[in-house]
Amino acid sequence: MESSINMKDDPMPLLRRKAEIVCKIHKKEGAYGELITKLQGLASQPSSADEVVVKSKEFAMYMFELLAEYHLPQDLIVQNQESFMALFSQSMEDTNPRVRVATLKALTSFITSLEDEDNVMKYGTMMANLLNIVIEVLKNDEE
Amino acid sequence: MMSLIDLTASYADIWSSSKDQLMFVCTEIMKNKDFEDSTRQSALEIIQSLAEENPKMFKSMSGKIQSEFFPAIAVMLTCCGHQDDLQEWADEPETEILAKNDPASVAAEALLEISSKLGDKLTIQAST
Repeated sequence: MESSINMKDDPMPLLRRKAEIVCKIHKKEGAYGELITKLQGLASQPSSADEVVVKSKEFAMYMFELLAEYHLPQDLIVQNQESFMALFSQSMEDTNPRVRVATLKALTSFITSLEDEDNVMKYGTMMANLLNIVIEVLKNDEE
Repeated sequence: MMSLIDLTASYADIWSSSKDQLMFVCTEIMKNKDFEDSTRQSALEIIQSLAEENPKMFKSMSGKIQSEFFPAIAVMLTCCGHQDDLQEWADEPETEILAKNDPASVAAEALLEISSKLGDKLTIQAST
């Protein structure tokens, strides 16, 4: 399935459907480690105007959003906490607004899925940046 | 906006270091009639969730409640439906506020809920 994902030619709606299938497969298998590593690789690419890079990052953030909804195991989240936080912080600063919006959705979904309030509060420092993205999205919608 | 409502309802404390900015963003959205009604109502719902889930934090923003929140909710309360068509307004059947979904009715219901969290004194102080 993952080999059928073509960041260059697949339109974003198709990539989203494929992301949903990949997540369902991993949920059924109960194995997320390798997937998380791949997503971190995709999402941590430097900012670029290259459409393939932008789509890769959008795809990765959508996957994180889905994984949060599918209740990613808490121990896996805690284990990767630092890298997730760094990843979300970096993506919120991405030069492409589509990546920032995808990060907003992924981050809120991700935080809501956390069970331990102490872990949730660690993301508190990101909320100001998150609100900046909300403002940006609403301004664009208004225009 | 929905994800922010869920986030606030689950973990209102997460806004502790950016509560002023949250209040500013939400009230600006509430006041802006160019936004869709649902967006403005969602912004109000975020503040309502904050008041319900963490009344202490909400009360600590008494200055912001007075200078930003009450003016914003006042704008929503005065959004009359059918204001350009009096006949349509007259023909509309009377309905309980709770059953309505227009900005003014949603704001009236939210104000009732939020005031119960704020308490009499702060509500009167903030709204005058």
